[in-house]
This record gives sequence, C-alpha cells and structure tokens, in this order.
Amino acid sequence: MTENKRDHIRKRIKKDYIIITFKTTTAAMAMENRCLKKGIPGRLIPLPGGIAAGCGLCFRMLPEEYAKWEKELGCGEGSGTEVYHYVM
Amino acid sequence: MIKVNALGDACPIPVVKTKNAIKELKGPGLVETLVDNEIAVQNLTKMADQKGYTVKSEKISEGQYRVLMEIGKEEAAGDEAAEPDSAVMDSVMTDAAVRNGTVVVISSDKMGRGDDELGRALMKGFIFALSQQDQLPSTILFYNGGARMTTRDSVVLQDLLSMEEEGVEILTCGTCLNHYGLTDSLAVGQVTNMYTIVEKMTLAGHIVKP
Repeated sequence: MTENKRDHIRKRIKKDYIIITFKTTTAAMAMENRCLKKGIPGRLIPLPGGIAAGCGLCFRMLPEEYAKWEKELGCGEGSGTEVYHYVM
Repeated sequence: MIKVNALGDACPIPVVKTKNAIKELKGPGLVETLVDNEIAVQNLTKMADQKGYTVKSEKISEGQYRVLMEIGKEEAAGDEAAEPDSAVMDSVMTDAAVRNGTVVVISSDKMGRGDDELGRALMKGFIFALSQQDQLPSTILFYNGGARMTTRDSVVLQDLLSMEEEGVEILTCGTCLNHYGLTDSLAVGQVTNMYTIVEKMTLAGHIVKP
C-alpha cells in the first residue's frame, strides 16, 4: 500500500511582473503564439484577481523582458491591450 | 482548569482528548490544550465555535500552540443534554480530509469541452494557478491525454517541477505514456499504475478534477 501524504502549506515569495491584458481570449492566445514563434519569453496565465480588465487570460512577463521586447509586442495605444505592473 | 497535552498527536486525537477533558469538567470551566500544528488549532477552534465555547489560541513557540476554551454554564448544561457530538464529528471529518491530502486528477491536456485551443489554454492556466497556491496538493495524478503534461515538451513542465520541488507527488500513468509513445519522455515525477491511481483516489481527502 502506498503512503498518502498531507497537502503542502508554504509561503510563496512574490515578484513584480508585467501583465498584458486583452479584449478577447483569441487575442491573448494569438499573442502567446506570436511570442513563441519570435522567442519572446513570457506566458499566458489566468488574469490575477487584482486586475479588473480584459478577457480572463493575460500574458505575463518579467519587466526587463518587457522593456527589451516592447516594440515587437506592439502593446501601444489602439492595440486593444493594457499593460500593468503586478506583484504575484 | 484541565490541561490537555496533545503535542505530537495526529488529528483527530487533539479534538477527542479536548472533548474528553470537557466531559471531565462536568460543568463550566477552562480547558487548555497544547498542540503542535495549526490545523489542530483550527479544528479545536471550529469545535469550540460550534459548541458556543469561548476560545483563544496563541503560538507559544515554533511548533507549539496553546488553545484555551472556556465552557460557560449554559454550554455545559447543553453538552449534558446533547446527543452524539456532531460538531466534533465535523471537525474530525474535516481533519481527515486535510490529513489524507488533496489529490488533483488531470485526465486530459484540455480543460472542459468546446474549443480545443481554449481548453489547452485553460488547462495551462489551471496548472499555473495550482502552482501559485499557498496550500499545494499532496499528489497530482496524470492519465490518458493528461500524461502529455509531464513529458519533456510540456508547456507546464516548469510549474510541475517547482511543485515537485515543494514536495508534491507527481504520478503519471505508465500505460498512457506507453500508448502515446512517451515512455522515454517523462520529465517530472514517477510512473505509476492503475492500482496506485485507484488507491490514491480512494484514500484522498479531496479530489480536484478540472
């Protein structure tokens, strides 16, 4: 018989991230595909509760990576995206 | 005051010992219980709240907590008249769930039915959100399409590796890896079989299946 373990309770260390929100899930998934193809680091995650905007999915990056890839990401005005700093 | 030493006792023993001490009081009074984990504090507090006792708790030192209950005249009278103790049973059951741990079952690389691309994005999101919880599950089981998630090319591999590092047991169905030709690609956790999958699920405190 295998041993059944307890759940693991821990305290996570939080970090500052850039969160890019989108109007539609399609746009969010398209951003992920575009970034994968271009080798831009980041990932699609569920929208954190502290941000009340967007479709429910968002793209998360480290601030230094965002600064490096900002132009390619094209998150400026009229792009349908919003960019936030968020600690999580 | 009656003092109960429940240090080193696995739940539900602290609740049972405290309940016995309250019986011994045979009336109003104080019961102090020493325990060594927060879950026991929570269970004792829950029991006290349900029974209407006044309760205070404090951390005395690392791994040592003191729970003080005051049983009033009315509550003591109520206890004598009461039928089998549902509050205690609730606490015991809650604790059994915590003790046996949460088992997360991933049977597909997609979450829900409908659009497959959305389903994959949701499942990635689920694993990510799971890895961000302060309370991690004891075990994550992967089978059928879910077995792809523990292999080399998995998009959630880092999340799973980080949870494994925190002590989460990650088990993938060997038959499923074999079926998908992924036996040599397992990159996190261990291979398991149906007997263990059944055992983990039947003994789980909670099962979470996205």
